[in-house]
Amino acid sequence: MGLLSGMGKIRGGYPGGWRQYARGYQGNQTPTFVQPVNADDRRSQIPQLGYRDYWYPALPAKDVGRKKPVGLKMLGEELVFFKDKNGEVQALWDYCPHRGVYLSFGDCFFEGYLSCPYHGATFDGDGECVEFITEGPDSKMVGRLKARKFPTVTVKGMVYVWMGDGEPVPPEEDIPPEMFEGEQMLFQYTIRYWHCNWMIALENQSDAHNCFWVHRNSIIQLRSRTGGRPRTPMGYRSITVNDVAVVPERGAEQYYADENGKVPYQMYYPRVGGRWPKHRYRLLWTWFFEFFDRRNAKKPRFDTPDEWRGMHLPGMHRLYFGGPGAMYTRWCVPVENDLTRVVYFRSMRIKTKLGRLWERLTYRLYRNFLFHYNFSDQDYDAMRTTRYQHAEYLSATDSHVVGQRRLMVENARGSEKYRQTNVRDVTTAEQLVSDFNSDLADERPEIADIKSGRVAGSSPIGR
Amino acid sequence: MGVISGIRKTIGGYPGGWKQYARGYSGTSTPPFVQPTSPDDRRSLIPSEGLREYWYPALPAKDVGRKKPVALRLLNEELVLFKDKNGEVQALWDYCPHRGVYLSFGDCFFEGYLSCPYHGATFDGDGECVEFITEGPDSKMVGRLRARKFPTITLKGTVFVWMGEGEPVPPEEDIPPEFFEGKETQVWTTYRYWHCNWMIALENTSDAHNAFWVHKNALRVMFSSRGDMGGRARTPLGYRSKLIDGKAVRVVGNADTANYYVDTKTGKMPYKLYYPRINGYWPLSSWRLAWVWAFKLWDRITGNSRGVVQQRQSDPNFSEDWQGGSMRLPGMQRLIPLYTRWCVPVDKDMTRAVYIRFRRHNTWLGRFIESLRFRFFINFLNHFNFSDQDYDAMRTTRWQHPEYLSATDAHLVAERRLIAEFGRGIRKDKGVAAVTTAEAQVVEGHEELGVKWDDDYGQIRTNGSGDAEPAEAHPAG
Repeated sequence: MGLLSGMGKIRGGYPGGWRQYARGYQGNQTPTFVQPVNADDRRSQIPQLGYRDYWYPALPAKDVGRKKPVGLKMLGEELVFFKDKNGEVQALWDYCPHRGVYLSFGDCFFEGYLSCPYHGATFDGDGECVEFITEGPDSKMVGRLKARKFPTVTVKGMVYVWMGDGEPVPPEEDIPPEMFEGEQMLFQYTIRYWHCNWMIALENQSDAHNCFWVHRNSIIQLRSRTGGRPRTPMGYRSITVNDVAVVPERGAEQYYADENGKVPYQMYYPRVGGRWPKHRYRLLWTWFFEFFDRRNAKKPRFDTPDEWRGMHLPGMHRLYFGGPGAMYTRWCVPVENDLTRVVYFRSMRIKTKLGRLWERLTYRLYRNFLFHYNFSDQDYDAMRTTRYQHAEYLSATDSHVVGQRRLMVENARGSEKYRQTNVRDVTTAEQLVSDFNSDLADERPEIADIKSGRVAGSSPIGR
Repeated sequence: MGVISGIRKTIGGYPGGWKQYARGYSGTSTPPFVQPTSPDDRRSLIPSEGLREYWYPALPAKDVGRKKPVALRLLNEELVLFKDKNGEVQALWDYCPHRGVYLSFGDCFFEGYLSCPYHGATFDGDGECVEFITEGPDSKMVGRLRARKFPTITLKGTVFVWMGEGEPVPPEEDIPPEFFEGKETQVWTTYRYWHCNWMIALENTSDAHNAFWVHKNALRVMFSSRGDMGGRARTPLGYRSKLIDGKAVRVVGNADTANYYVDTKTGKMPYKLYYPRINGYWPLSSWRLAWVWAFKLWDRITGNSRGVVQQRQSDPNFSEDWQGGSMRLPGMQRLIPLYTRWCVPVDKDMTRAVYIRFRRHNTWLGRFIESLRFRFFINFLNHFNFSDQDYDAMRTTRWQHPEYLSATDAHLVAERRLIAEFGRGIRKDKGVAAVTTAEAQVVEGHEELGVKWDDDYGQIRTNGSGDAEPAEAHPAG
């Protein structure tokens, strides 16, 4: 026993106190995700590792070299990526069908082919064993051994993988349409990990009004007069488009507008006897930036089909965000039950080379940081501590969350496989959303015509 | 919020990227071992925590002191080892029968006896409670409380433990014969841990030909006398295995197998082979031959016949089941005298690889030089530089999915059949096909190359009608 461990034993944790394990062993680590199984909870029908039979973004093609394969987990599946004979990135199951080791620990000794690190089974881009090095050229494994292949397509430098067992659908169905346009469509991306389930990461995006709360000190919020999206007790009306997307119709935001159509910056909350925000200092920033905002407001919005705004299957959100004329996509790719790979896309159409260069530069220098780190990461602690397994009590403003869950369980490919739990037509939580919105519409008939908060989907409440 | 946590929140992991959790939380750590259960898989018969009712090597006796006991996990059983009154190492279950704490946290306050750290129950080498300190000398626990004992035997400084419920078999049955020889025989052991199941570690040694692949840069391969073939030669054929007495499977007559690619004109094995479908040669370069030549020259100058001695596989003093080139129950691969690898299960995800090397020298000086060679050279060369190169492959082998075996996996099939049919205490009530799909693939691979071996264990015989039936049992019976 060393001197230190001796002293440790003598002190024995003195002087103790309740703080050490106040939260128990796990402290404030991320709690484990537990899926609800409850006939009164729509979330019981959503697969915790994501919907199969979709194309998902994996990684940038430039990060796959010619010498070394790359191991990557998606939807709980271990994949290995390497470049084939034609320089295309291909994906196989990260499992050598001979003796079961990780192919991703191997090498591409022969350009375009991936060799297993154990016995040298060498696979081409289709997963066929074309040579079995340690048995020499006469090996009988050639042409028989077959690694499981996952179809891939590389669009604008991003590798997408078909995560399904069936025949892949055309990639155009699952990948945003602007990705197939020419070089004038500027594509930029950022990839982040969040320690939460993919659904929680996705639902965060449809929060109408927490900008003014969680994000109050983010730089992009300080630039905007109303502190982001205005406070409102009413939810967005969500419209299902082509059974692949739910698009929020904004309008409920005008609920607190005065006669000039302006939502006040501070509001008085009589039951706590105070105002929120507590002070107006943040407006100093806003005034400072207003000059740029007025200029940017004139730029036209990004042109995209209706079904590619809002939440789109299998798990992305698209909105006009990320600078003037930009389209923002947050694609929540499940990695494990408790881990989400958040793939952000930023699409802009810019005609001139110089303009694109400028956008690339500003994105690298500060915009990427502003949108995806400074802003989006402020939700991180809230997301990772969301516990799904208990009953929730939804508000009118959660109407879009309800809409997207219904879209998934009713229309996602293969959603019928996840309906083991029979869930009621309208769950208690959904009924709350609907009731609150109807009440508000009755009380404020002047904005009732925007039909806020109706729940989308094929359910009776939506109609 | 402090300044630092404020800055960290602002930076928020910038600039991120896909690499951080590319493989998920577990990264490149070892995936957990999952046993297959399919009736078409011989592996579902093999106990994941090892065969019970055998003697296993535990640790060197010199590492057990007189003051402190030593804890060791073996076959997922927690043991505590300490020295008894006679200085013999004894093993008990690491569990105080009184209130269940680890005896291994206790002390040998009284030489030869182990005292529990909780209430001072004090046990002798047989696990009898001889005193119960906290109750004073009149304690009624004395002579009643009994810790579970595991029989032990110490041979050549290595402690072996009987891991079974039944009466121990004579140690000569399970322990290699070199341990019972006189002082002219030196035995060295090396202990290593591998994060994989014991069977995966064991099967690794029977790989006939991956020396040329995984071990291409190992020093041993570079200066092996057959080094210009990169260790064991490449071949599409598997080694023939013979069942020995229900205790071992031995590779026999591997010359035909190894000489498959020999050039008929020159009678030599080409160093590089051309692989037409990927349009390349393996090895990619010939520079490794520079080493081989250098060592050959050295051998010629010194008159050393290094390779020949080291490749010797049989020893006239041993019975046939202890000869080299064989896998011996309960789980060792013997390439005597240079290398015996005994894969001792720790738990289902961990193996204690115990390497055994022996040499016979009549003189004191010879033994001394041999010891030095082992310490400074051979040990590193064989057990670390060479064998550890397989580590990543072994620990990432996943057993739970079906495998597709090749003809060269013939010895592996034989090993599994030996364990599943002759291992003591194997459950035979689980139904597994007489010939599994993977085993049939091995046969098929051979037959297509025009090889029919129907006299050997591990090769599955196919009769005229095409119905496959196992070739075992016949030599056994």
